[in-house]
Formats: sequence, C-alpha cells, structure tokens
Amino acid sequence: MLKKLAMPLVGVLAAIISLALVALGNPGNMGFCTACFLRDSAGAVGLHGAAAVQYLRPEVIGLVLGAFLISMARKEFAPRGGSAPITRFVLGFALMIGALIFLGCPTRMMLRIAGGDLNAIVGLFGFAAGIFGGIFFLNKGYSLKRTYEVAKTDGLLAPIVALILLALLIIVPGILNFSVQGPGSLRAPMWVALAAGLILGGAGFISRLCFIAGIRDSVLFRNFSMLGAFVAFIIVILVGNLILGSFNLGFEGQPVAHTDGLWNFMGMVLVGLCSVLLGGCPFRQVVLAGGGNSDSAITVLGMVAGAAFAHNFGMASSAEGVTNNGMVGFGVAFLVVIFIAIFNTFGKNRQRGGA
Amino acid sequence: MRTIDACGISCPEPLLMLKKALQSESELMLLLDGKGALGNCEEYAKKQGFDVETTIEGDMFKLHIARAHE
Repeated sequence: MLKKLAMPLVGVLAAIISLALVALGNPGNMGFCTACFLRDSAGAVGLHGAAAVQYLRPEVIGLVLGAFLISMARKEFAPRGGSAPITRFVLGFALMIGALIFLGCPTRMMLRIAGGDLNAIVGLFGFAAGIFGGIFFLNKGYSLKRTYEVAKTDGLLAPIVALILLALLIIVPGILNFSVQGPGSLRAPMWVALAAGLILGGAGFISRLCFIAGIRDSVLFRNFSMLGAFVAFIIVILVGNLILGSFNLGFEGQPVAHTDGLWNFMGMVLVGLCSVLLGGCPFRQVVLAGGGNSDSAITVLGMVAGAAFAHNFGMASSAEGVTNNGMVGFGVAFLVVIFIAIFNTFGKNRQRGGA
Repeated sequence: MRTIDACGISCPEPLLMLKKALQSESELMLLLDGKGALGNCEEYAKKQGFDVETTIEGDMFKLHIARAHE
C-alpha cells in the first residue's frame, strides 16, 4: 500500500514546494520550472542578453547537489555516459526551443493548468501528442544505444560545476547578471530556493520522478504509478491556488504565457517528443546529471545552449506571443529531431542490446 | 534459453525489450545494471504471470524469468 502511495506522495511534495516558492517570490505558475530556471541561469552567466530572464536559480543548483548527495548516501552514484552524447545535446537544445515557444517545461505546464491557465491545457494535448510520437519510435526500436561506465571524475563534474556556480552566487554575485524586472526579478529567498532544490533533487533521485513517464508508461506498460505523481501534483497545486486566491481560469492575462493555441500545442509536441527520445523530462535530466550520468549532463548543457540561442535569436515567445523566428526555429528543430528519431530507429547500423 | 542483455540501456528500453520478449518466450534471462530498471522489470514480469529470481553478480542483476506454474 505504502509503495503504491509513494509516487503520489512525491507529487504532493513537489507541489507543496512549488506553491511555497511562488508564495515566497517566484514568478506566477513558475514555482519549479526546470526549463525556465535553466534559461534564467544561462542569462545570469551572460549566455543570452534577455534582461528580463537572468538569475542564477539556486533551485537548479540544489537539484544537482541534492541528487548527488542522495546518490552518494545510497551508494548509487553511477558515473556513466557514452550513449550518443552529441545527439542528446541536440535533443536537449531542441527541447528547449519547444519549451520556450510554449513558455514552460512539463512541470510548468502542470503548474499552469492547476493555476487555471487554459493555454496550458492546449499545451498538454501537444505534450501528449509528442509523447505518442516518441512511443511510436520506441515501439519500432528507437535507441541511443548503451551507456558505459566512465571515470568517476566524469560523473563528478556536474556536481562540481553546481558547487562552483553556488560559490559565485554567494561570494561574488556582482559578476552575474540579475534581472531588475520581469520573471527573472521574481525570486524566492536564495536559501529557501536552494533547500527546495536539494529536497526535490534527493526525492527525485530516489523516486525517479519524471513528468513524461506518467503518460509514457501508462500507454506502454499500463503502469500508472508515475501518472499518480502527475495527477497528485496538479490536484495539490490546484487546491493550493484556490486557497491562496491565485487560481485564475481563462486564456487571457495568465502569468508569463501567451494565447496562441497552435504554438502552445506545437511547442509542447517538441518537448514531449524530445523528452521521450531522451528517456526523461528536463527535471529528470538534471537529477540524473547529479547522480553521475554524463549523458544527462550533456543534455542539460544542450538545454542551456538552446535557451541561449532561443533568446539571442528571438525565438523565445513572450506574453505578446510567438515570434516569426520562433516558428522558423521550431521548423528546423522539429526536422532535426525527426531525422534523429528516424535514423536511430530504422538506421542500418542501429542495434540495441539483447538476443 | 534466450538471454537479453539490457545493461547500459536507458529507460524505458529495458522494460520494452522484456515486454516484447515475453510475448514469445516462456523463460528467459535478463541482464540489467540499474536499480530503476530492476524494480520495473521485476514488477512487470510478475504482473504478466511470470516468476522472477534475481541474483547479483558484481554491478549486474541477473533475472531468471519463467512462466509461473499454476
């Protein structure tokens, strides 16, 4: 019984932390959005110049370090890598293009749904469509092949980089960019945000919480445990928003969101598809990076680069809507992802383990 | 008896490989190296009416999966 309740309880924990972060200062419906926070962090270190979205988010640093500490404590820290790293970088890059067209990763999509943002329901349909697309390729044999054991230093680098970034934030914040207005200027106190990240990083590592696995595993294996976390997360946020008076049903006037239905849908198609092809959502990738998986660390770097490009080349949407560059960027990213999917599914030299 | 080596294969592919294999096999050996995949594969096989016997060899889990006798 306890085992059955474990996943929904992790969803409840993530939801409570998300609500608390918004109440303490994070942007609306953005208690915990991995894509948004990677984007803000990219801006903080000058990888893009969008002044409204620059802040080295302690939540992301905490996610990596929390996962790392728990993995060490449980003797499950596993330095592994070598499974199509550049392909993963590109998929992470493309995922971020999609996320910044929609304005959120799967976590924020759920936060937005539970905040009454109907644009995110449109995004959910796109997300599900993308996941179904990924499942199609998985069923046909898609694989990025094996990972291998790598040097311990390879696995340790993500936590070390996270520690260095934390040191910069605490000791010499003056060298970083900090938004003075816009979403990047809205932030929970640093230590609270860091603690939230540490807790979720640890809980995420133990539970293997992944926001695509809910839909993916229900379809593929009739395994609904992860979907339990997904649903529990939305319900708790919904109730919390109703209590806090921050529930606002509708399409218009939603925080950090636009109302272009087609592109809310298409953005999340790309996020769902890339997440399945990567084997996990952005949150899961950051957690795995903390646990020693260098493929996931490279995926995170791909997402950071994608965020930087999205803002440097005007591909990211804003409350005003999607941009022309965003549409072009989506087209290119989508074609590249489909190419990756087809080649790694039907390619002649492709092989998965087994038999 | 067929052996499926799913070591180093990332989620959810080991479970997918098992699912496909169990459609035609009544007994097989599955090799895994991740705790996540281990739990999922054991649970899935049992749900499908198979007995699972897991042994650990170094960093590897060896799952002997055979159709359960009534």
